[in-house]
Amino acid sequence: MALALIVLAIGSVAAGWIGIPGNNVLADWLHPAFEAPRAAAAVAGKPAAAAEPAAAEGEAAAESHETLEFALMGVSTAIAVAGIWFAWMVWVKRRSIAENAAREFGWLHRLLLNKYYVDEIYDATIVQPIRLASQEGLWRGFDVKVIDGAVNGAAAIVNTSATVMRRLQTGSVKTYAGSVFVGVVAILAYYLWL
Amino acid sequence: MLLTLSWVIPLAGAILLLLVPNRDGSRDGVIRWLALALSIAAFAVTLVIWARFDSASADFQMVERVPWIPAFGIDYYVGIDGISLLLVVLTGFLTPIALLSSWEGIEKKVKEFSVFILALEAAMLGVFISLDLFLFYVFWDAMLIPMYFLIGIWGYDQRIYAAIKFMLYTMAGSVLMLVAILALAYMHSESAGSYTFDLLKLYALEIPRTTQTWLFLAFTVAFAIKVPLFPFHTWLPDAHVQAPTAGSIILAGVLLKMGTYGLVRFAFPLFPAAAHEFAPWIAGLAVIGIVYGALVAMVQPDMKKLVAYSSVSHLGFVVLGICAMNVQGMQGAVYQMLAHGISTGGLFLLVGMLSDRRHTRLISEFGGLKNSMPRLTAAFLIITLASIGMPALNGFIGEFLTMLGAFLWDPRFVVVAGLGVILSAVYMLWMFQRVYLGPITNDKNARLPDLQPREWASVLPLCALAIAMGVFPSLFLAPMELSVKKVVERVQTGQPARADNAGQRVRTE
Repeated sequence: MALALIVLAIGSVAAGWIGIPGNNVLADWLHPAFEAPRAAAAVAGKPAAAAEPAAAEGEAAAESHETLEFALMGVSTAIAVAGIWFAWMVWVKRRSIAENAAREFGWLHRLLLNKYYVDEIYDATIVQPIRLASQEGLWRGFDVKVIDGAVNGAAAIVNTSATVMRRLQTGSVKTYAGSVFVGVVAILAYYLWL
Repeated sequence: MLLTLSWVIPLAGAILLLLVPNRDGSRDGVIRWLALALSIAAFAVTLVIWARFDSASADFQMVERVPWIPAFGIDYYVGIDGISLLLVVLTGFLTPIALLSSWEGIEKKVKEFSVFILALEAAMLGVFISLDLFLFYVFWDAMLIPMYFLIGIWGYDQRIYAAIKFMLYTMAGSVLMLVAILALAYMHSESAGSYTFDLLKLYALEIPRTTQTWLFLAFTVAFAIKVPLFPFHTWLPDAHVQAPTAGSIILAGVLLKMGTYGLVRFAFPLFPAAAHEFAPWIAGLAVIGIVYGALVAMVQPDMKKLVAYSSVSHLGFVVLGICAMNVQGMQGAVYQMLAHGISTGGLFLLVGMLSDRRHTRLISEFGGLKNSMPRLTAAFLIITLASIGMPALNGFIGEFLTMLGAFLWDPRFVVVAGLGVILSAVYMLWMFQRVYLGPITNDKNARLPDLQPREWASVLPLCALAIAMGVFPSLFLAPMELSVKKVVERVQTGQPARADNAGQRVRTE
């Protein structure tokens, strides 16, 4: 763990060094990518002469920009150092401050310790509802009951109706002759009287 | 002759195996090796086909044509273009892996098992190379028979129910398609005076709008069941879970692609006007399937069922890409078919290995497997990430292209489909975490053997291909490009662009 932190520390110092104003080797790295549309706009919108003073203006702006960057760097470094000093004071030098604060503001301590309960809130409002709805609603409900119910239901209808119709096939010639007779009478009746 | 050879080798091999006397099971070993050798020979033929394929042509190549039933204009007519080429190679590639996966898992009736696998391969290859609709239908239905027995004989507890359900579901769609095929042949005889089942001649047929609608729906329902498109998917979890590992690999790897292949080859180009009318509806079902499949996959307690439902989600991307009806979408769809074949075939293979060792597939039975089998864990992680669609792996290219194509067509679908991408990471990584990470919670998992040499032989090619397809996509995109363009052109010109979206059509091409 310590070794990983050492490597990361060296890397972050190097990464910060690259970005020091005036010494910034990365600033122009993607320059052409962002320059092209602006140049095109200048050609299209303004006459060529107007582009000259704009470039000079840009240099002046870059200088004040550098001052601002140094100021920001100074402020953020100061804040970071203050934070490190505060943490060292509270947790290393005088541990009792931290313990007293935790006792004094118990609810706040728990809230922060549990990361504002964000994970629990997500779990209760998003994860579990989706999981439950998928399991009971979509899978056991819709997939198994509705769709498969229809599929198996179609099979059951065929099965049941076949079981009923099967009774018509008695195999007895007398019954068949009887139904032929009834049919003939019905057809004759239709043509003669209706 | 190459195309005929590719499907005759496995078929002749199946017949040859039948002749090996093996009543007492004493020649199981010989039969296993013979079947493997035959399937590798067929794979070699598909590779030669790929090597000889001319990517600079959009036409059907290596065409063979012999009259079969001249009275009805039925020919033995085969050929491939860039779309079917790679599916043929995929079939050749996955069959030896399926045979390897059952080396120890299948103990009873080894001869019959090998015969059915080889017969299935012959039928699958036949489906992809047929250019005669009658021939296509023969292969399409012939494919069902070996699969029915593979699930019904060598499956798990509920195998009979699953086998019958698979058969009836597919047949219900197939019969509609048969009627539509006959209607096409009849319409050709009305206009040209003779029956024909020649796909290229039928492409040129002018079909009235309402007739197109009915025929398109008949074809599309048959293919939608096979894909499977929501809500026609409930045969799939049963069939996948009950099938033996080899059956699941072939089912997920190749059979599902028959549905999407059918849409690209038949339904869309034969009936372009109807395709345009229904594309938004089909795409709607596809994106519902993407999210629905992912959510249902997430809550499965059984690993095999989880992978099965993830297929519903992944195939939704393929259908979405097809519905976009532009080059990016279609190319992405074909790429996603191949990628899904590799990664889901791999998932079923690896889950099968766990199931062989523990005789259970419940996620809760596992945990911490990385401690006892680190190599299998690594392979599973690669395939898991491939399935999720991580960049530099095969799933990424396909998903990206289908979504790009769909975005150019109608961004609304992509917004919903994007949810599926996130959810795929949720269900796959959650499963991986529960099965492989953490401490070993069940003593039975403590001393499981890691990958055996035979298992390496089946896992390594899949992992290698998953990476190769992610890093060098142009190798696989180049042969299909012109063929895809031709299909898109046919679908687009069949329906003159309306004035209000004419600009968009031009842009998407």
